[in-house]
Amino acid sequence: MIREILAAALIGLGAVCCVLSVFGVYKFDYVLTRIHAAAVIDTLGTLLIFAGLIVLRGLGWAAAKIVLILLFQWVTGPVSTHRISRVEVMTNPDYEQHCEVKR
Amino acid sequence: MKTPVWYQKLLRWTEGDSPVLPEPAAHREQTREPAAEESAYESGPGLLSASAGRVRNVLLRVITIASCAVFLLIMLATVAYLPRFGDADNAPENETSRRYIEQGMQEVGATNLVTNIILVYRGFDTYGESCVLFLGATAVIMLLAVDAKNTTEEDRRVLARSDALDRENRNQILGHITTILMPVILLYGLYILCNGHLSPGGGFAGGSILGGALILCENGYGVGKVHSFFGHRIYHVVKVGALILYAVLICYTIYVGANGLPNVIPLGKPGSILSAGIILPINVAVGLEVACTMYAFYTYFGRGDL
Repeated sequence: MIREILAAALIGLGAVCCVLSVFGVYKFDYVLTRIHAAAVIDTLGTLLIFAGLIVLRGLGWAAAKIVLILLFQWVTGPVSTHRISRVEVMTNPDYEQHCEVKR
Repeated sequence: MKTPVWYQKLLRWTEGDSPVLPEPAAHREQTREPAAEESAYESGPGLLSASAGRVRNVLLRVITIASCAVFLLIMLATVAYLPRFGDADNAPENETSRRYIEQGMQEVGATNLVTNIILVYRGFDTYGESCVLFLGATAVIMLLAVDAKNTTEEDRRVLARSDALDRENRNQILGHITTILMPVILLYGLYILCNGHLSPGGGFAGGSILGGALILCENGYGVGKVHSFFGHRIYHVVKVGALILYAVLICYTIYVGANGLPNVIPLGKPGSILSAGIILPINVAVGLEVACTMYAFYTYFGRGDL
């Protein structure tokens, strides 16, 4: 029972992260700020949801597979975010008008 | 007569401009020149006068609408011959599907019933899908291939500049990540490809993963990396060879089945990797076809060359 409640809380928090991030994508109006908001799904959202799933299923093969999927997501998500922002900075000379970029 | 604003907006939208942004003056001056070109194009190449060009435009529209209408009528006539939904005369239990479910594994040998149906029982249909992929990639190559005839000096300079920009800004992160992930992705793609007769997956899914791996390789290691091991010759050999392999296998199966001859391809033990007769090679052929098509679409839309 406690396990289900804990899992539900974790998955719910993850879902809240995803919803906030979608709101952020629609709220901001520039690429760099939008991917800043969208990247929350890749990292924190998946972490919380997968942690909830592991709590629900218990330690075992399922948990190991979930951890592998989480690692794959954590490797690929930030790299794609990084690539998109690099392309924006490379191709748009006026990006500093839209948001402050620290070098 | 002044055209209303919403109509102008609609026109701008159908022309492909953004309807939201107000057009700045400089932009309007830029657009004047292509518009003039366009009207020159519409009135025909020099020989035709303006009125003849207008007649031709009207004629083209009439032909287009008429051919669409004829096609629509043919389709609707075909629909009229279909049995009514829920009709009493319809077979309550379809004989074909029952046979697929009950005897599919003995007759074809794959534990995945869907693969049995799409690759063997209805293999001719899936062969048509592979041909569609082949023709799609061929059409893209015909339309978008870049060679000396259809490029200007300016185009080549832009391409060379973008390549140089890409090489200078080659960042280490994506390269390292590609090195780490590439074996995993290739292994996963091959697994799905070779287990199509045992588990969900098969040629289309596995092939698109392999095509994605090729695209990742091109992006992660820089332009020209894939070309070094996947040039035009290998591309054409793989693409045509996969289609021919599929055609030969499916023709053999149909011929043998239609004439009641013994099939020399062993079915094997259901559930093992080397089983199910022609399904494994057909899956591999379809997968190669899909991977080639995906990569060709990516690279020809981007650079106009492999």
